[in-house]
Amino acid sequence: MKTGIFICHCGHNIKHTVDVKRLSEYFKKYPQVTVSEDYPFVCSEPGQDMISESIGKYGLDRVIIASCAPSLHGELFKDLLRKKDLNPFLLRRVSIREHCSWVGDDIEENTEKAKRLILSGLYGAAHYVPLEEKQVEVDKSALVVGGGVSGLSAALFLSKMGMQVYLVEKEAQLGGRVRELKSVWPTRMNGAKIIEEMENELKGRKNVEIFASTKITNFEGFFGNYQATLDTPEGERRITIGGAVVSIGFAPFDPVIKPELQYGKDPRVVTTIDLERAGDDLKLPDNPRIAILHCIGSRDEQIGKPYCSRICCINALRVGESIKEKYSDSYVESFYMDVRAHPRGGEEFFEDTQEKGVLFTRANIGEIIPTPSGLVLRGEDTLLGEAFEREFDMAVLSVGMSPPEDSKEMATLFKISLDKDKFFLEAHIKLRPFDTAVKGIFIAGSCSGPKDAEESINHGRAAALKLYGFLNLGYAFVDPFISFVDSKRCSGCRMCEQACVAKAIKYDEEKRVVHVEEAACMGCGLCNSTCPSSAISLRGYFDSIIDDEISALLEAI
Amino acid sequence: MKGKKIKDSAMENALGKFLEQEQYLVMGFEKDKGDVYHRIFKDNLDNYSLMNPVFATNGALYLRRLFAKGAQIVIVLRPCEVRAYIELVKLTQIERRNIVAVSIDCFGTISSKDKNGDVPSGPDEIKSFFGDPEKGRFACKNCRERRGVVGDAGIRIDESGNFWTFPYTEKGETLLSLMEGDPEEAPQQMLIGENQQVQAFQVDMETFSKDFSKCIMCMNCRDMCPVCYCVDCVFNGDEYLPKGDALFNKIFRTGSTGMPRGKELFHLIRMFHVSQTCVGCGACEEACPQGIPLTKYFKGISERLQGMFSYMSGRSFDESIPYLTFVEDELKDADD
Repeated sequence: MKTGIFICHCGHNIKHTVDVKRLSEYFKKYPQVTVSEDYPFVCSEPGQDMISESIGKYGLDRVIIASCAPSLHGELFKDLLRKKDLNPFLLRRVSIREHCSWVGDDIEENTEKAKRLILSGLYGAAHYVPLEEKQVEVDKSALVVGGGVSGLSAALFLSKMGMQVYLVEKEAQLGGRVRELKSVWPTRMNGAKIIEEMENELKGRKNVEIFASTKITNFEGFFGNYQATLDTPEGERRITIGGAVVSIGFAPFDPVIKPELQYGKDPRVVTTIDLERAGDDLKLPDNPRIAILHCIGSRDEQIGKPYCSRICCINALRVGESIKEKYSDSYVESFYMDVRAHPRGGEEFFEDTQEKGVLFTRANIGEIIPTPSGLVLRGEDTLLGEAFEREFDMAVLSVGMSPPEDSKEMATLFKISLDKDKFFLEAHIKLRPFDTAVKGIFIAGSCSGPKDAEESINHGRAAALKLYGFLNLGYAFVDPFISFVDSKRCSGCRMCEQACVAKAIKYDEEKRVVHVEEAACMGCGLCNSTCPSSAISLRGYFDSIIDDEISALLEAI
Repeated sequence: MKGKKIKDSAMENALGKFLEQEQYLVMGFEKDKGDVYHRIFKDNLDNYSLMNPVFATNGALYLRRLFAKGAQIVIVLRPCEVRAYIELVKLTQIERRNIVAVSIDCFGTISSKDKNGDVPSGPDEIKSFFGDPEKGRFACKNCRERRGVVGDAGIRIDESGNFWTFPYTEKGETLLSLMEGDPEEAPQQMLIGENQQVQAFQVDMETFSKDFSKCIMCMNCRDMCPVCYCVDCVFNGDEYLPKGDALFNKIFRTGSTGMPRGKELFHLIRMFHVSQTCVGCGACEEACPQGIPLTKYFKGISERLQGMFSYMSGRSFDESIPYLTFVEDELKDADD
């Protein structure tokens, strides 16, 4: 065995807390290590050249790169091996940056830890076998779930790129929540108009099919070949798609949960959404006194909504502004926790609103007491530390975003994880913000956390672009990390079948053993750990690899 | 509770009627020169015995990978054997379709190792022998599941030594309809009461190591365990044998290395595999040539583990094995 170990300095990132020179020297004494080098940036052109040259020069059959986390530059280094006619699965990445140099400052300890991590890589790599990536055909079509602003933009993008698109909306009308908005900040454009524009563009297209008032009853299959069953008003319809963008939006927070605010009991307490709906029909006395309450259903641990809904501060500012514009002699007071005017221009808008005469008081409102003459707000000014009572004609609750009612149901259908607030959880908040754990299923819009219309549109397009990138080639490589069954050892106890989340394991009644449907297997390895006789294993993650890696980590050096 | 009282050899007659049909079998016990063994009867019930006070193996062992292919089988076995059978049904190692399982009250068994002369037979002899709480195997002395309440039907023995049959499922009902007599109210009291005192499970790794240091890795315990059902055990492969590469690495760096002993690992892994399905029958201990107190460990751990999931191996066909079920709010209080 000829192993090459390449240790990256990552500039100063690794070098400043790990003694890379000592590491590269240390591994030279192993008989199976042919070359052990350290280099400032292994991912740079010269760094790559160094590895390529070493592979050619020494005829390496295992390459260990100790650097950043494997998800970074993964494909880059695999390609490097491919170009040198070396199977890319003989590469072993060891994370000595995220798992080591970034964790502590002690050079001695970090170097020892890095030594062990690389050693376990060396032990594990000894068991590696070349693996083959299978090519499967994918259906160049996409399902977009939810016809809100993010779903529409995703569908539009995909259809423009030539994909067959199926857009499913549970309501009779497309447009979701944005359709209800009279003026969408900052362009002040009518929400319905925005939707109509998108809808018209979409409706003229031959490769788009829109299903309104439709529910998805079943979703199964695997990347490139999913099957969805739709319950349409015209009856059941089955479609085959390559992937899906799930953008089921949000549900506005229902303030009835907070009875002290009197919402639903007193007509003078309204939400920002009610105000949008009422529009010009809103009747107010002359010189009205209006209170605007921020953070209703946001940043509230007591009702299990600890997150900021991001959109409601701007909504509250808009309400204040529009009332001031309509009734110049009105008294408008906004009760806030912090004003978080997130989007671009938000801070300026906040200042404008203040200049227009909206008062801002940092306060907690304890309760609203309805009296015949008005609504008495009782609360505490958190800057002065004083309790107050003030009377208003109307109280506007700036409500936040809650996860959609069917988030759990949809999450089960598409195998998407939920976060603690019951919004959809992305695969990685920074590196894979649109991906889910399931290949070919993407999430967009406010179903993965509060977003405004602009963000949702961008999110929709981004998810569509990612899906397009996956499907465009018409084929895909299946990760070779899939389970396989040694049928001679299989007892047919069907434990693995029940553990499999991808439903990739099937029982053969005739032979009384199980087999794995390769295209459906996600390579999670759950089945491996349930099998008492180790009859089922994961290619590339054999027990022997893991055992030896663990023993390398624990052994006395 | 109403059941049919078995008069004279009514049970044998009923089973005999069952055997008259082509391809019908009965698995039970046979008396042979003062000893009792398992036997599968076809055509006739010569030397048939309802009870077996000697434990050599767990009968469910013989049923493993039994896919009847048309034959109809009645099994009349001890509760621990029927419970193991039920676990194996859940693990698709036995097809339940063609089997009627009948459990019979058991008041303890003697180890085949300790057997000395003729074994007690009949209710009276059994009562006088096992009435002494010191008699019998460790597994039986600590057994809480002596009653024949599992399977499709049960046979119980009251304090005056009368046999009673009770159906628990439709299949059991059909079988027992072959028996003469009408159901009548049966007494609750057993021939010998339930074990009042069972040994509390207490063990530390030190005594564990000491006990298991005697192990010679013959793997008899595994081979005789009814619920250790794999067709090819993971210990038959080379996964747990030292490998040249790894040893070489180790020797190279440390100068010398001890060979992995693996005995404890073998038992711990086996314990992990069977702890949810273990019925505590003690077949492993019976098979151990070194006299390791296996039951103490296996049953002790299994009981505690199963308790965490409110599960009991072999109690019912409908309860799913905890390894195979995911409940969001389980193991809340399992911190020890």
